[in-house]
Amino acid sequence: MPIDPDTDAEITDEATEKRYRELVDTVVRQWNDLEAAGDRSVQLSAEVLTGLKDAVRADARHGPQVEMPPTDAGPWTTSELALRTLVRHAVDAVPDALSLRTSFDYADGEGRTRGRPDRITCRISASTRTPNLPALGEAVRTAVATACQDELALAAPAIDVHIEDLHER
Amino acid sequence: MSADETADQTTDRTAAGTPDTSAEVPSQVPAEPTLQPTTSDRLVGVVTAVPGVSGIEPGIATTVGAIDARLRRSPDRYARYGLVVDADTGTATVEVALDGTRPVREVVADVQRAVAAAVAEVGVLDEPLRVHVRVQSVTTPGITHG
Repeated sequence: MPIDPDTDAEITDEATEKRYRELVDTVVRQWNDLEAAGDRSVQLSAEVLTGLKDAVRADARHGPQVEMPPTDAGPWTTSELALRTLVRHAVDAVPDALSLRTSFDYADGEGRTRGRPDRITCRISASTRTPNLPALGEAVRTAVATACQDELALAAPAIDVHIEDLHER
Repeated sequence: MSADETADQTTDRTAAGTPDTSAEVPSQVPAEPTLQPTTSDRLVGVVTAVPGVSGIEPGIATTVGAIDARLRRSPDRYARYGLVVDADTGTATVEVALDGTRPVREVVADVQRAVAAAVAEVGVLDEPLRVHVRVQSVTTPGITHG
């Protein structure tokens, strides 16, 4: 209910209420007309529009946010892009292995945030000089598990390693 | 009284201890501390000073929050691209890019502690600030992604 600024009492007179609503309707109608006509005074500034567009592009590039185990100082999340970067780096650090593609299965999360990863699938290429492909797969699995623990305190997601290609090195 | 005058009053009282009453001044209610643009600028510096942080990297969440805060002009909520502090709810959101020189989790914890400590110095909150960090990208040595 509108308040009379002089008395702090609610304005209950029907005619006054009606007039108040008419004024609000007029303002809204005028604002909409100005906006439809492209009047700059009711538009978002160029700076704001640029910021919004950049943020949307960045959001698409980063992918969804993924829940992580909280630190002792508070909660945090990481983008799927950052997660993929860390895993790929761990794979590429294994001799004779090259990361091709990494994907994640997630636990249920809240809203648009994905839950913690419970399965990581690493598709890799192995060097033609690799003497033991199963051992290479195991080394990749260990490297990814270590990176998850050391970087993220993320304990033991299931890690699948698929050797999909061979490369000369 | 403008927001800048309010901030100056708070700073002057803190620096001087007891206000000088020898000159005739109109009686005033002591200014409540509020989040000011200078506070948020300082917070950005606090975040980027943490080893392992390569910079603030705004995402859609804080961008929309920054626009909302500007439209509402709330003194208890300050937002800029990449960093939103809401004194009403006692929460903050910080979006960062990391440089990969330290474990991600350690950097995140340091950012949370640094921001909470910096806001505690302003004195707007009764409870410690709850800082949510969103890591947007990580650069790893020899590889750049994001």
